[in-house]
Amino acid sequence: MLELFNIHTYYGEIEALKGINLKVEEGEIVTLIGANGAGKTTLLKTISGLLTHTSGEIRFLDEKISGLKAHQITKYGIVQVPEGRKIFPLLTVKENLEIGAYRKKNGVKENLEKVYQLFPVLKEREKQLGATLSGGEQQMLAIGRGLMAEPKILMLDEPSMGLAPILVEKIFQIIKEINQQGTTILLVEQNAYQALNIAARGYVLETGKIVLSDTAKNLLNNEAVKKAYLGK
Amino acid sequence: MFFQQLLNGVTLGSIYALIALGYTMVYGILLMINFAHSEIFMSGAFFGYFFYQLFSRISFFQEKIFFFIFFLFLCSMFSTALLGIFIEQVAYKPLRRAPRLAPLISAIGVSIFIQNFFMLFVSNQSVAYPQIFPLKKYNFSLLEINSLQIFIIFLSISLMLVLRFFIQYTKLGKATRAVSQDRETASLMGINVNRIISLTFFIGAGLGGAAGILNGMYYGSIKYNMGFLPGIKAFTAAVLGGIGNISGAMFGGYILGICEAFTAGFIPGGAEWKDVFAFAILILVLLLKPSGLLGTQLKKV
Repeated sequence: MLELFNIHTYYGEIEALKGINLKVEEGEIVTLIGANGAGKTTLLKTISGLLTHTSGEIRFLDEKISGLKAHQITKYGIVQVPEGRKIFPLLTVKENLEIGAYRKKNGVKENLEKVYQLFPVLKEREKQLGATLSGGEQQMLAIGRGLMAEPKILMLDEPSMGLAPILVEKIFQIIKEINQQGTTILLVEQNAYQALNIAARGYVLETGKIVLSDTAKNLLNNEAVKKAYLGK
Repeated sequence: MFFQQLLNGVTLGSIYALIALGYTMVYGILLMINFAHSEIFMSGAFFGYFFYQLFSRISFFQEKIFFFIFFLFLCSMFSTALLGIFIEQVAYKPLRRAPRLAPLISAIGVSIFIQNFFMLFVSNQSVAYPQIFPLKKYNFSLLEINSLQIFIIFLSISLMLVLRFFIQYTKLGKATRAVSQDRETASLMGINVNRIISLTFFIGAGLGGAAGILNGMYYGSIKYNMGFLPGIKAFTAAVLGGIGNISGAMFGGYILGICEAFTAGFIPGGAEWKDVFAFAILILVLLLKPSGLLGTQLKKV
């Protein structure tokens, strides 16, 4: 479904991605794990069009999407939920969700209902400003906002960051649920254990290169991964 | 006397508020002061003048004062709005990633260019502004109001209400707010950020253009350098209300207009000092509440 061939991306002079090859099949949860600064966010931003890669090619459903701008890429059904939630602080919860469906002409109401069903707390807070939500609620809003666009693939950047353990559990549960309803997921996480637990496959990113790729099960049992990312 | 000065202040404030909206909207989106906005305001006055000359020759508009005024404002505001977009495309967009000083210098360049354009191609003297509709005076016990004042206040408030509605309830309005809060995330929502920036210049310049015509009608003459003082006062109004905040710009415009009118009316010799008072108020507000009267210091999430 989503394929990356030999992607190089620069941050100014620094080469942040050094030839990434990656593949996500329809219906999968694929996770990308790695330390801070490994290039995980850069990779997502490159796919979503916020950053442009200098060489290589990105294909989505056999169509080349390299070089398109972020607002054009959303048209294909590729939606990124950014790191740190990035809720619009001065829009209400409902407005945040509506903006998520900016590209949609119809079906907005139905999608809104679906999101409220998934996150009833958002319905309760409908009229509150985004800034007034707690961290967990903001993460739910960020995911809900992403779902409003009816993505074919949802790319989540560190959804568990800064959340209490009980909420982390819940967020991963919800990601799994979203996947079961038919949305493909590319999940970037520092919480490698949780991520690998719900994923089918995983990639390990180190200093801009993919050093390992395998099924999630194998990665969980891989000695190097255990040592570096699972703290065992 | 009090009510009479209040009326003068509200009339003046309406014009300031319309101009201030252009400053505050552009600042809200680009964090940049569009110093060419005063020239957009001036251009609006001149466009109004041209369309007046044109429409006076069209027989359709004879005796149809409502259509005359409607199309005069519509065409002039639209032309000014296009000028606003043009300035953004030519002078600001190429510099979007440049240091913040660069677009500022570019804005000053555009200002000088537009002023000289009107000076060379129209006149370097004041141009008498046509009286578009007959001036009628209405006497009440407390104040005297004329048809032009009613028109200025009515049109300004209507335009501001339309803007409020647009920003608050329409899809594009929400997208505009989203872009002003977080440009990168807004583009992830599928919003074409460049288009929203153009839209902002379009609306801001259109309102500034309307203010230019109203200003010309109110004072009876226009000149190529007429933009400077109202421009800087409207900028003051925008800062006073909290720059980037749309309600703040309207509020600031009226506060400034009323203060000016009261200074001119109640302080002996105040007319010459009214500008000094206007800026003294600005400095006071900035000392006591740097974010402006309605400004928020809310951190982005």
